[in-house]
Amino acid sequence: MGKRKVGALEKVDADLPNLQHKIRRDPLSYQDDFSNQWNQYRSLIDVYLQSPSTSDDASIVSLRELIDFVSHVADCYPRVASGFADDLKNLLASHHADLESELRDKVVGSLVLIRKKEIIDSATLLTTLFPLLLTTASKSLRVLLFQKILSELRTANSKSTNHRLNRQVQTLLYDLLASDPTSPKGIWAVKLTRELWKRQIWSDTKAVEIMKEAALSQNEKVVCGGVRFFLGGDKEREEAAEESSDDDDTVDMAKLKHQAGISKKTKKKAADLKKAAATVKRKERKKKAPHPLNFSALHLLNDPQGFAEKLFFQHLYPQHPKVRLNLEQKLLVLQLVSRLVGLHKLTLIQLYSYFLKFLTPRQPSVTSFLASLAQATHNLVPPDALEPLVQKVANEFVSEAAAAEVASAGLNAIREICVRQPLAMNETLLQDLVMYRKSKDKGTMMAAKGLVSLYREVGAELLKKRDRGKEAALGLRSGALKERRFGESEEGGIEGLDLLEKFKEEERQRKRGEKGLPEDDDDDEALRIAEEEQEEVEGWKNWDAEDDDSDDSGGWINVESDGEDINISDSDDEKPPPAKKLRTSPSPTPKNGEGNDEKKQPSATPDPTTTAQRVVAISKLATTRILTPADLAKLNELRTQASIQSHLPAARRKQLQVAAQAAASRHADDAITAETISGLAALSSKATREEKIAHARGLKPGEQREKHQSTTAMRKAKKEAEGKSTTNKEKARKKNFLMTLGKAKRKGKRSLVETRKVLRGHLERQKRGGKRGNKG
Amino acid sequence: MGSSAKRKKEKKQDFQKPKLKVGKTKPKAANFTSTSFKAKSIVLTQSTLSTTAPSLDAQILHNVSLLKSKSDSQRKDALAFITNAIMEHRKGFPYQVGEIFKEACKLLLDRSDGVRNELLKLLTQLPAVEVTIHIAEPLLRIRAGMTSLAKGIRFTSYDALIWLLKGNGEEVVSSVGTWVKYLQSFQSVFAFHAKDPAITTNTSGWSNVPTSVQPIGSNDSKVLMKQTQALESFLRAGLIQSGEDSEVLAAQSAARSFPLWHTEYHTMPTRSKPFARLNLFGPPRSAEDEMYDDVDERRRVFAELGLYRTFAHGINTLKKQGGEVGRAASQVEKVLAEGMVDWDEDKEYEVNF
Repeated sequence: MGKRKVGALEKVDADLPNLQHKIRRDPLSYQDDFSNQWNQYRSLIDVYLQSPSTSDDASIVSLRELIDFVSHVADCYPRVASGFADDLKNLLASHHADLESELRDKVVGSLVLIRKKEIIDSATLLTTLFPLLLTTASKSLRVLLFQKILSELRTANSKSTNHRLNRQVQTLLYDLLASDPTSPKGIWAVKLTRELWKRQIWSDTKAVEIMKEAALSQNEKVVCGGVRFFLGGDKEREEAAEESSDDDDTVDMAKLKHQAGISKKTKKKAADLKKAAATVKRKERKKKAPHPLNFSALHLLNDPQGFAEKLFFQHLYPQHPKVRLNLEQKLLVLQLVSRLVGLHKLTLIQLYSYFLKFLTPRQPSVTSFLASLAQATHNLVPPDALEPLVQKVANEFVSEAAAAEVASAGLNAIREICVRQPLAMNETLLQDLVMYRKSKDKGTMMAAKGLVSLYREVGAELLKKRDRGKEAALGLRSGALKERRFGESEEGGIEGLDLLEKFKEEERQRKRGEKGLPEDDDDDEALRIAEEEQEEVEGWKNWDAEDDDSDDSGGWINVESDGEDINISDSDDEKPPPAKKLRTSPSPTPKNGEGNDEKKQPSATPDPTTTAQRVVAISKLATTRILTPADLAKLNELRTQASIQSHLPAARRKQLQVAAQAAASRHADDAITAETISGLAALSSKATREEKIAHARGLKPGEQREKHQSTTAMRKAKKEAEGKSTTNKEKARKKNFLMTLGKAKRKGKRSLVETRKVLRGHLERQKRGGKRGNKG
Repeated sequence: MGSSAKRKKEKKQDFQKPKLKVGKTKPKAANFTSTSFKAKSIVLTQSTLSTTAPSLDAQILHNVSLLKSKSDSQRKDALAFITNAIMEHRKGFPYQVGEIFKEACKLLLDRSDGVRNELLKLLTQLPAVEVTIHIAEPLLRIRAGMTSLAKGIRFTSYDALIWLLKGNGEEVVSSVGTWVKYLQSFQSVFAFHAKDPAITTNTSGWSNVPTSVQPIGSNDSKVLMKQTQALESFLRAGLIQSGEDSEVLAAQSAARSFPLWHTEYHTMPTRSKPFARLNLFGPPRSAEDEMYDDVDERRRVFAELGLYRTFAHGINTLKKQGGEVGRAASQVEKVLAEGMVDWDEDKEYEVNF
């Protein structure tokens, strides 16, 4: 027999649950009974407090039951039970270590219960439970407390964000971390914040600030917790959000409606259907609701430069740091630092020299170091800082003598660095590395080819002439392909603006065609401008519903068409006003040649516009005119249209190309991992037969196909899963033999007339397309 | 059915004998039930066998330890043994009676009726003088028991209280936090209500039956009877000066040990927690928790907290019930009148809590 469950009041005439039930129904009548039980509870507490460690079983059990009872009905008698919360708090605070475990859990549960009954507020509850979480030695209590604290914070924030409570708790956690950086208790702040971040309850700067403090603390566990949060917290949050949206079981409305049509109609069923429809609608609305803006923790950081510097100089740079981190933990910190540097384009020059000593093939998990290095690179890093690193990687990793994996990893790392800062490479080294294109090993070869194709785009001059390729060579000759200088950056644009411009051009030509004017007549600039103005006015017209007096707007055109140009634009050459044009006769000087190119002269043949010209054309529209709401609406429409068209099969190939390009220039937010660096090494070794088969089947390595089935059976299962029936053929085959027997017998005895009728019927059915026909 | 091949096969399997093999354990039957169990402790009914009978001392020690046993009957037997031992060896009892009392008091709230009855028997055998020093032990439990839902426990508590008051009345009422808290417990048990404006407004609704006249367990006049008796002895102990004046007593004891001066301060204390009044280590006490070791003080508190009026009113109502209970109530009234005889009723006292 185990420990016997002692029910203090079992087998007695009255029991507490019974009384509790009665009190809930009529509190006033049972006031005396409650006060009796309250007195008993008070005396049992006194008994307990007299000798907390040596209390006997029975009194503990009855105390537990009484606490449970009182906490359930305390809200009915606020006057009598006013000291209850304080009792529990004191009991927990001073005796949590020697309370019997079941009683202790009951006390915690009762506190939460009276919080739910709003006898105490969240802040009181949390300030009671949180210190316990830090001090108690019992693991089960810690688990319980953590869960309760978390759920309390969740419920407090469920209806609307409880800013006051959040701020209070956040300050508590921050102070915990800041007051004693060396203590391991900070891990609870980290755990709590991470959990709340994952559930999107806390998604503000203050939470990030807590984690920042954790990452800079002096306890290795806390440091790792903080760093891991920055590296993986956002991904975790996204996954959790996806999971929760997947979780809610979808109601099949069509099925429900169908069933409602068949089964017996009752009011209850009708109500059920209505309820289901409401939930579906609610879900739809939820889905369509604008996505809450969730900034990643890395973006919410206040002063990332300071944070990165502190992290680096506290944990990585010194010979004997305050916290001894092992290699794995150091790598985590390094990853975070490099991530910050890459993402925010920070300047941390010492970081690059720090890498130098780790870049040897014998260094454990060197690919992670290489990935971090690549990540820490961005276009504002001075090439001088990177050049020795690239040189070292090349020397240490890329040689004939090195193993294939090592060489490919080295080349890959160099490529990743150079994608971000092409100036880190010099001519001789590049030409050396390019030679590995001819390597027998596939991984190395691919990596080298990647390097070549990269430099064809970003720095073709560094390549030998024969390596440049056609496009790069042409670009170099025409001057379109220029090496970017240090610190130079690309201009931005508006997505789909070219579509809008093209649409406008077409529209204009169409209108002219209707009026009987020559379509491609650009001489008449004044007319064109007037048209544009009119269009613009039209665009604004329908926008403001209250603005009714738009009839007068005709007057505007007359005033404008005088030739006064109000366009706010600096570039005179793109749309010169007609008066100006008349005054200064166009003189085709070589100086003006460039301008003429862009001006789309009528004499010029419509040549394939180069990218540079297109960029200029795009900027024209946005910088010379204010886009009307109508324009914006059209822009949106065109954009969606284009995206739809891109899904058509004709556009498939193009799309693939775009995807490949996107893969080449990954988003700056994404981290580079060790797998990216060592990925090509997989090409070096030949795959086994099994691996190939698994790959062809689309199975992951190590996964097994669960059942061997015929194709027909699989098809059938698929159909069944889709809720479809079997084919007629299948039905015929399945038909009971005895049922077919009678028909076969009768078939032989048919008269000629009957046979004719049957055959005719068959013919007719074929024509109609089945028994019911194909009409409906 | 039973016609299909599958069913036939299934049926056949039922009658097949399992093959036994040499050196292998016998296969378990389909209806095999595991009778193994896990236990933290296994209690053997006969745990010690010895040729020589253990000494009385050892036996008592053993039985005192058995008071904590999980089994009802074992606890009961242990109590019975101790009672017998005390009765037989009244003179040379080898064990500290106080210790036994301390342990036994933990059984005041025991679930089993038998154990509690046995406990009461034991208590009546204990000499009151020996108990005095440990008097704080049962007081809290008795108070808890007074308001218990189980009738039996209530009964035992009142019995125990009456017994305690008989031998050590002064000690009981003057120990820490007893006087006011017990009175409050009695008040709640009898459902005497102070004339509180908050409550009277609550009961103004037409559907509200004045429940306060029905004390807990009122359907059972036996309990009510016991309750009233306990209240009577409690009030008697608290409000009426017992025997002579304490100064006279002190003078007598001083005369007895004449050449010595203040002997009682140098001997072992005869009362429990002699320095409790100083409250050296506890939190500051409220009016409820304070100890009142003087009759006048107790009277003052009794009146000041409004308890006197409440009790007088309640007892008066109870007396009107008549019968046995009414007679007991009139006894209480007498005690009240006697105890508060020199108390000025007209004087208004502020209820300060």
